[in-house]
Amino acid sequence: MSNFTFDAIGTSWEIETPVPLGTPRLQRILERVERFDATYSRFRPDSLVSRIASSPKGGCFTFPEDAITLFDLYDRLHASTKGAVDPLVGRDLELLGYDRDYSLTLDVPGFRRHALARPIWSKDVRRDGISLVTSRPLVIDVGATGKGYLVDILASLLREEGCTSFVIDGGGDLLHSGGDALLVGLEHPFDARLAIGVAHVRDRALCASAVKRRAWGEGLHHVIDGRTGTPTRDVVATWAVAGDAATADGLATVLFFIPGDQLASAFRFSWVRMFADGRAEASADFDGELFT
Amino acid sequence: MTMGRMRRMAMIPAALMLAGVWNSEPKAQEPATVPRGGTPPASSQRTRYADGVYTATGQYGDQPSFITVKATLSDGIITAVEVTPHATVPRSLELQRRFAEAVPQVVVGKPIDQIKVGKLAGSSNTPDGFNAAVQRIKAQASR
Repeated sequence: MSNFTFDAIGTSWEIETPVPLGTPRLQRILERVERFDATYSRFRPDSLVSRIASSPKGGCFTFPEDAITLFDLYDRLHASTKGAVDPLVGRDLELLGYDRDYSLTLDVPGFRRHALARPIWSKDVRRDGISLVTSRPLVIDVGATGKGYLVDILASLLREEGCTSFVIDGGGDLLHSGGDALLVGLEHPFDARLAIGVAHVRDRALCASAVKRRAWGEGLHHVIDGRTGTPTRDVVATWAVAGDAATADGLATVLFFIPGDQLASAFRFSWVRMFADGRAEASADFDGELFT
Repeated sequence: MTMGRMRRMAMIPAALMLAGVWNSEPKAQEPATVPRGGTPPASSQRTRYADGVYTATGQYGDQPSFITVKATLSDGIITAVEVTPHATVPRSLELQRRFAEAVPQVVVGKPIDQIKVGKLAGSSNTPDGFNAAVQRIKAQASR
C-alpha cells in the first residue's frame, strides 16, 4: 500500500493506492487542489468567492465546469432542508468570528443588521449554467459539501488515470474504491482517542461532521443553520454514507438539522447521529455497529 | 428538575401510552404522572425521580400484544433503555423489532487502539489558521 499525504483546504489529506502514483499524477492532483482553492476559498483575497463577496453591485461569475454538480446538489439540499443548508451562510460565519483572518470575534451589531436581510440561496443568487449572477456582495461558503466535492473531483482524476483501487481521505471525509471493504472508526466528537462505532465502507463515501473541533466560544461553532444564521444545537456529530462524497458530506451537515428518516425519499444514504447527551442512533441500513 | 429532563422522562410513558392501558411495576418509587406534551404542573418540577431501573409492560391491540420497556434512571437522566418485544404475530413482531432498533442508545467510547480499523472519521482536522488564531488569543489573554 502506498500513501500520498498532502495539505488541502485547511486539513491533511491522504490517498492510498496499491502502488505509488508517480510524480506526474501527484502533480495533477496538487494542481487540481490549487484550482479548487483558488475558486472556493473564503480565506484568500484573490479567490473567486472573495471577488463575489467584494463586488459592490454583484455581477456574473463563471465557475469551473464541474461546478454544476456542486450547485445542483446545493439546490437539492437547500430545498429538502427548507433553507437550513445555504451556501450564503458565509457572511454569518464571518460575523460570528470565522472570518478570513480567523479573528474569532463576534460582531453582534453586525450580525443583527445582517439578520434583517439575510440572503437566501434560492432567492438572491441566479444560476445560469456554471455561472452565478448576483446583485450585491454575497459571501459564498461551500463548507457543507466542498470537501466531499473535492474528494469526488480527485476520484474522477484517478479513474481517468486508470486507477480503480484507492482510498481518498480528506481529513475524515473519505471515498473507497475497489478491493476489500474499509473499516472506519467513528471518532468520538469529544475525545479523539475514542471511537463510538465502526462503519464498513466499500465503493462508497463516508463523511463525518462534528461541532467540537471548530468551536471558539460558548455555542459558537461552524455548522450554521441557514434559517437563523446561528450555530446548530443538540446533535454533536453525524456520519453519512452515500455513493459520492459530495452528497455524503452535504447530508452529514443536513443531519444536524433534520432526522435521517425525513431525507430518505430525496437521497439514498445511510447514517449515524450522536447527541449532546451521549445517545446515538443509526439508520436501519447502516453497515457497521455502534458501541453501546 | 429541568424541562429537558422532564421531557425525556415523558418519552417513555408516552411511548407506552401509544399501546393503550399499561400496568407498571416500577422497582423504585412510583413516578408522578407527567402530561404528554406542554408544561408539566409546577409542583412536579420539584419532584425527584429516584435513581433505579423502571420496568413497564405495555399491552395493546386485540390479540393482545405486549411490549416491555426497561429504563435506567441515574441522577434524573435516562442512561439506558431496553425494549423487549413479545409479539407472536409476525407483523407485530417486525414492527416491535423496528421500534426497538429505533430507540437511540447511549454509546460508549472505545479506545481506538482496541478496535481494528483502517481509517477514522470524525470532524475535520482543525485548519492551521484556526489553531494559530487560538494560540494568539491565548497569548493575549495571558498578558
